[in-house]
Amino acid sequence: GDVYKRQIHGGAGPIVRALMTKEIEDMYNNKLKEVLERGYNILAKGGPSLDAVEACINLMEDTSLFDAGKGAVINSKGEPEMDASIMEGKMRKAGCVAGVKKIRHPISLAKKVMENTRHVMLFGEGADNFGVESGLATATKEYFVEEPRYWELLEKSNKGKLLGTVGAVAIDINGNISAGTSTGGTLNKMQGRVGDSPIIGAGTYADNNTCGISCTGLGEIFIRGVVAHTISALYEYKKMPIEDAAKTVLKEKVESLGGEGGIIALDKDGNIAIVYNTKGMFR
Amino acid sequence: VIHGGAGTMAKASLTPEKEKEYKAGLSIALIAGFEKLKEGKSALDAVEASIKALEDCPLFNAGKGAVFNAEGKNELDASIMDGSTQKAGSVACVTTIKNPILAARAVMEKSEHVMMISTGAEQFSQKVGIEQVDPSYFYTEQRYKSYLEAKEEQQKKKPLGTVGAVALDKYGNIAAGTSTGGMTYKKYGRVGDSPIIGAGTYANKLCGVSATGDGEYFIRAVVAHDIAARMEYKNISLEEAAKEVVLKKLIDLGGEGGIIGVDKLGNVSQVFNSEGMYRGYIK
Repeated sequence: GDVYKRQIHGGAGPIVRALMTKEIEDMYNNKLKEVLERGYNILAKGGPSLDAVEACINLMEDTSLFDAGKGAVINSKGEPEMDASIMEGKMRKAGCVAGVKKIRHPISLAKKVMENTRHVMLFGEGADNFGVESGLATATKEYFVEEPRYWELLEKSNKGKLLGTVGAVAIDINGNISAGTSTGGTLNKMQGRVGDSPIIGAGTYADNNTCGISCTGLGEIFIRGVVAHTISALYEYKKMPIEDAAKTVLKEKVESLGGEGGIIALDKDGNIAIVYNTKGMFR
Repeated sequence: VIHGGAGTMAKASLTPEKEKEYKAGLSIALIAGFEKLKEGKSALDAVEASIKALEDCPLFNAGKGAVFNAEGKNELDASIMDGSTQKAGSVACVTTIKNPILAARAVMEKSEHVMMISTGAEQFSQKVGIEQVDPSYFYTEQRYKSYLEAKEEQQKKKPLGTVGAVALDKYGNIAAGTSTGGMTYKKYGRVGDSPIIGAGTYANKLCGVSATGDGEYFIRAVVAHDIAARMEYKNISLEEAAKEVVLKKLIDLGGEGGIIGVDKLGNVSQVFNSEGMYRGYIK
């Protein structure tokens, strides 16, 4: 049977499928297929879910199709400021970075924080410096801020609010769950604004006893609702099945506060839940 | 209820005079908050007033009296949450804001965002009229000496002295807040749990929690929110939930520290697993 599963998402929000030409939609679906295959290959060989999550997100950070790494949207000062977090469910170690400007793969930076330091969160210039010192690939602003033509289309239809955060959850052959999220944030956000993507409990959470979660949507709401952790709490304390837990949280903590977004979740038994209340989440 | 930090402040090592000073500092803060409540102001106002008083007091690792990072600078974090609306505000890695808790509240009430860091946070706070100071304002001899010692040993020191407050007002609303200078000799923009909603601070209609201790563990365990979730979903008291999280979960994970909390009935909880947390409360 299936001993390992993976789920990835490429952002909820106004990527209204109807607005896209078939060509663009194909690009997204093909890329997601490639990403899923990459992760699957790692898991199939008995690799750790953490590596699978990182590899999948790296692929999405490498393409300008998503608002993460390459393709990150710009803030009010015209610069990319990227956030990411990763968590593994066995020891519940985690790594988070925010306000990163130079590192090509923010999720890999987050993983380095988790594995090579005693810390969990590094922000701003310090995070970039740590990345450089750790030997991670860097890039200039021009690399990240490549605007694909169809983003202008989307921008016009969304009044400047763009979503496209990426994430992944996976469980490996040893039953270890991992989750990760990476983003460039919201278009035109105030410099220094941080959303839920680098916040453990909000955008990312993993616990072998319960589940792995990655979210996308209006970050502010996901922080206030401590969304990812609430799903795990409902699963654990109220014994709710993962899909019910995710739906409940989407309704009671996201929608009720006026928020939009999507959640991917994977429980310890390999059950998957994908819930969203926006017009189209690529997954 | 307010607290002045858990951690390595073993009561035995303090002279009676020093201990008196800490107690005096705490009293002033408690009274500041209590006055607000007596005037019929909100829990939010009380939390803000208490924390501001603690930030202004040079004895605590928040605002003036904050510890120094590896570069010999003060980098501050704070967060605040309004239980009745579940709105929240937080700032991290700020260096020129005299009272970070005031900036956190400004993010909550005067911006569309929940979390802001570094220069972006400083610029925003200045724009909305939050008092800025020269970074040298935060200096105290005691903390600088600690920094020099840490520098000698090339060793970070355990975090201590974070301040926090929770309050319940006459309207039945709960608020919580936390403020800190972080960890002595921290590097690379390290951020702990104090500005993380769900980790160091959380408030909803049932309870309010503020935490202090080994920040990394509080983030991974989503402490403040886990206490609230256990209360709500397991139908247990604040005290029981706090004990489960602080005395079992955190200890299993390896983290030291404690919390203060208040529930909607006015029950107060102060649970810590470390040597001595300065705290006090008024009903």
